[in-house]
Amino acid sequence: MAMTCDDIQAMLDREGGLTTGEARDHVHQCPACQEAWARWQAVQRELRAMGEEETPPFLHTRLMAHVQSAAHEGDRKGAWMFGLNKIWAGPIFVLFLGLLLGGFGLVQMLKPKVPAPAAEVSKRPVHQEARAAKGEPSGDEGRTSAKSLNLPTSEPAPSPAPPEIQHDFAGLAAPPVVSEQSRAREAPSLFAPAPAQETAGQEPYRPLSNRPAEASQEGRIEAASDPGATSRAARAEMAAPPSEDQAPASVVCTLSPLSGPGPFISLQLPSEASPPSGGIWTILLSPGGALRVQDVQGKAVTAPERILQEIIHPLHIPPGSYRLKRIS
Amino acid sequence: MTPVLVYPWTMDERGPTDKTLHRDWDADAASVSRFQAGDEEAFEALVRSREKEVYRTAVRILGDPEDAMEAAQETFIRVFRSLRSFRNDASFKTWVTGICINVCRTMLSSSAGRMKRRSTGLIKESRADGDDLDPGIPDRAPDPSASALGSELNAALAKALMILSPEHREVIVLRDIQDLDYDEMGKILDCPAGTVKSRLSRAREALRQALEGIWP
Repeated sequence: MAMTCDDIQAMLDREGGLTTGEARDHVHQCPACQEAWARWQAVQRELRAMGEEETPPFLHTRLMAHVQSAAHEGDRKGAWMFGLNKIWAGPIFVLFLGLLLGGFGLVQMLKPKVPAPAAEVSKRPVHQEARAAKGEPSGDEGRTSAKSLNLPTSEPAPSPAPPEIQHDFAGLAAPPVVSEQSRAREAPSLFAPAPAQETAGQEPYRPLSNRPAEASQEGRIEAASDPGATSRAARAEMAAPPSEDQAPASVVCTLSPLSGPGPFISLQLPSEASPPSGGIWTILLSPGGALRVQDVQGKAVTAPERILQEIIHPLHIPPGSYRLKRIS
Repeated sequence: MTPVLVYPWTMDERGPTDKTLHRDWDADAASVSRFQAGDEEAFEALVRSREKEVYRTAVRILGDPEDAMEAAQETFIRVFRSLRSFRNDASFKTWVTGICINVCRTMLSSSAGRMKRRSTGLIKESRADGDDLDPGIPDRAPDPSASALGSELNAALAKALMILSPEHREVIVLRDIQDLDYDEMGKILDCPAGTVKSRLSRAREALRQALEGIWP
């Protein structure tokens, strides 16, 4: 079947040229298709020429200037925060620090001045704490003591000569005398007289310092039921005028590792749980928490083991061999 | 055994019309690699390599030199911003042309551009004489002694192109002016090569019909 003029035109539209011999034969014989073919070729040439047309002068310069400008603008936008940080990092940090400290100070000013139990526990002499918690040592109190003593709770980093940590236990043993009125002002929740309905059937509130004979026993009872009351009991004992039989016979000892790195701790111990004057004991702490005491001859000293266990165990001292030396 | 020359694109029935295309493609790839490695000066080589094609594509699709310059600028800004993520799935030329087409579409679809082009089209259609067929597109023919027939046809073609729909104009520009193959056009227009062929056929028919009233 011979191709028609419409077929030729469709081929030109579809293929962009005469792609078959039959089409070329038809165009060769058909004047209308010859004209259409010539017209098509002219259009194609002109379209190709459009692809080679001159471009505006300074096209490259204009494009590059615009691109660079936009790129730098983008850099500026992108680097805005970075630049801000770079320039204002110092002032912003100082401002932030000031706000932080100011806020902290404001919180401290607005906070009701209740004596913190942890702070109180840390101020108690160790032997009093041991007495107050005798029979039922509290792990929480022990951890608090360890923290207040700034002791390492894990294996300390090796150091050739660990500095000795000295705590002024003597100053803590004689707390300042605080009047009842000032106590009530400072901590009404603790020191204000108890409401009548709460004390019904009980004796009226009296400061512990006014009843020294009961203070110790009462403090132990409170300590067993209420951790916060431990501080009150200890404070009562400290505030009570010491009598000859109640005066704590405490001594200051140092606990240091026999060899190698380890904590170097000053402890205030009851005299019965401390070496004789100028003496040295060896404390063996097993990984399981057991404590053994030996004198300089290697003889076991069993009497103070329980007291020392109660005092030393909450400090989370790493297992090992330690030297307990009495200083005073 | 006959050595086979492998081109980075699928050859159509005409094959590459310019043997420098292969070399240009390699140069583009090298410049892209340099830019992605941190050498921003390589971008200037890429602009220089493709700026004329981008401008010509834009001016034929938008029909206005100022809009074309704006489109070319926007095209290369987008290229600059996203060239680091360019992964050589297509040639740089194809990628840039695709960006240019997208920019032109955005400009055509913008209300301001649509109004401007509509008014321009009305002015063009209202003028029957051939002296001022397309004042917006300068005749920058390389040969100043081109025949009057060629100049007349050039102006008529410019006008006929603007009568076409943007879709038809795109395929005419990409195939008959920029000489891209069907696969490249498919990547640029995001459609299969068969769709490109059928669209091109309809576009040529529309162009022929548009020319019949302008170029006797």
